[in-house]
Amino acid sequence: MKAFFSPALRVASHSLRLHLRDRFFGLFLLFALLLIYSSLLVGVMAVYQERRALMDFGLALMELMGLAFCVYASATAVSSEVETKTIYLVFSRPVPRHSYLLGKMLAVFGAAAVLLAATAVMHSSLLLLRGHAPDGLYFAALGYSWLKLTLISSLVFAVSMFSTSALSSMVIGFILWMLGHFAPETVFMAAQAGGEGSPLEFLARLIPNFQLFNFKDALDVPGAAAPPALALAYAAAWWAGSYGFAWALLRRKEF
Amino acid sequence: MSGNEAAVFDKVGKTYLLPRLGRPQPLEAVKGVSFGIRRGEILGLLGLNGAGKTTLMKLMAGLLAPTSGTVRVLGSDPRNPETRRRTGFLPELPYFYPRYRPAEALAYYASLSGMDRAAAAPAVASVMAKVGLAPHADKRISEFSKGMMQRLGLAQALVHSPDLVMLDEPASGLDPIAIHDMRVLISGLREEGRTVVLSSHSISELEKVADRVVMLSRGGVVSCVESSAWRGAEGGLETLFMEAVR
Repeated sequence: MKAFFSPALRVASHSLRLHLRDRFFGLFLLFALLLIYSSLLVGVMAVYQERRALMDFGLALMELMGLAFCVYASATAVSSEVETKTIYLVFSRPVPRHSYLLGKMLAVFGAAAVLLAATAVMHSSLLLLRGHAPDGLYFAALGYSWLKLTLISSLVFAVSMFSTSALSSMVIGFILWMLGHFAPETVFMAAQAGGEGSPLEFLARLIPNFQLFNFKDALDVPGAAAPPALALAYAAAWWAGSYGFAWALLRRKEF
Repeated sequence: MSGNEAAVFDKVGKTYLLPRLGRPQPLEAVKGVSFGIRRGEILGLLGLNGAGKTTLMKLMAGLLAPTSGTVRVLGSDPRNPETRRRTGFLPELPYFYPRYRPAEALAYYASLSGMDRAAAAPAVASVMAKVGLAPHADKRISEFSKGMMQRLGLAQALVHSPDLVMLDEPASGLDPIAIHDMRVLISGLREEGRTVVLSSHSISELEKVADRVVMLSRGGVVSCVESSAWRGAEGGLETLFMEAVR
């Protein structure tokens, strides 16, 4: 176990530092700050619903910023090391490929947490400025957003192992993100079009259901998001599946 | 494999499958290669571009698996973690994260080689002094010249004190002074008892530093000569190489 986790943690801590030092990370934060504070205008327009407008707009922006960063970071995590040949310096050492992959994924998960935390500080400061203190539900919504971001990150990792470029991995990632927000509807339409139990329906069921993580909807519609244990288990199943798929491809690659 | 050999290639072949629409196209990079590398020697791999030098290096570093034959490094499979702990590899034109300082990069690679922090810190300081990077310790890697990058590349290959060091085109793109310094460093490794394998297409470089040279052409070994052979020959290693590859 030590031979598996020790190199993974070393790769993870190194890669996390690289993500946090990346100029794109700083740009995402700056952009998030501008957008979050511009939501003041939305709050003003909402008049009596200012708290709700600021909350919804801010949480959505934070998630979108996180999505952009996670898709970019996951799509380039391995491919950039292959292009620059730094992967030779890693794989010529006693670092198993499964540990390397795990370390890279954990680093993106960690960077997503840091990004969400930093944008949450910005957003909370705006809420406090307007006299709306964030409550426990707000932080629960952040937790669900993080799960969602880690899920899409692990999927993009898997896609990046077979796609021809980082750009195509990113495009597929964004498509999966959009489809995932309409997963039940897609399954329904696939069943209608191809019949129940058809290959089309089976394919539609392979799309992750991001609606389970829409906790900010649950603030208005109780039961809209999955309970925490189910959401965590669902995300963990996708992490494991994506990791296994990505590893199966990475172990066969020659550099 | 005798106890005196650091690495052995036995009828090794490597075929790459180039992605093509429809069916992948095979490319035979190395075929039927057999030779041994003695412990403590500096062995040069000499060949034209595409002769198979880098493929042999990658096979020794465990980055590639042979399509046929066997490669043994320090008595076992090169992909064995224990073997990798005892080998160092410098790829051609190495890249390092530009925002790091050299000690940070070296500490990371030392940790990947299994060294803990207590052991890595003095090893990093020592190897930086050895390759001449100590005066540049405060610079970011983005400020490094090509020669300094190559020194850092050599440092990452040496930081964990490997028994076998593989250097792929270590003098590539360096100016004459940096080439001289690199040569002194490589000769110093032999004095420390390490085995060094270096590939090059520069005949004069190998002539000055190698104990033995394996000449490659079109993926196969065409000749293997000791330093005594080119030191006594008119025209030196160049003449021997031309005779071998023509």
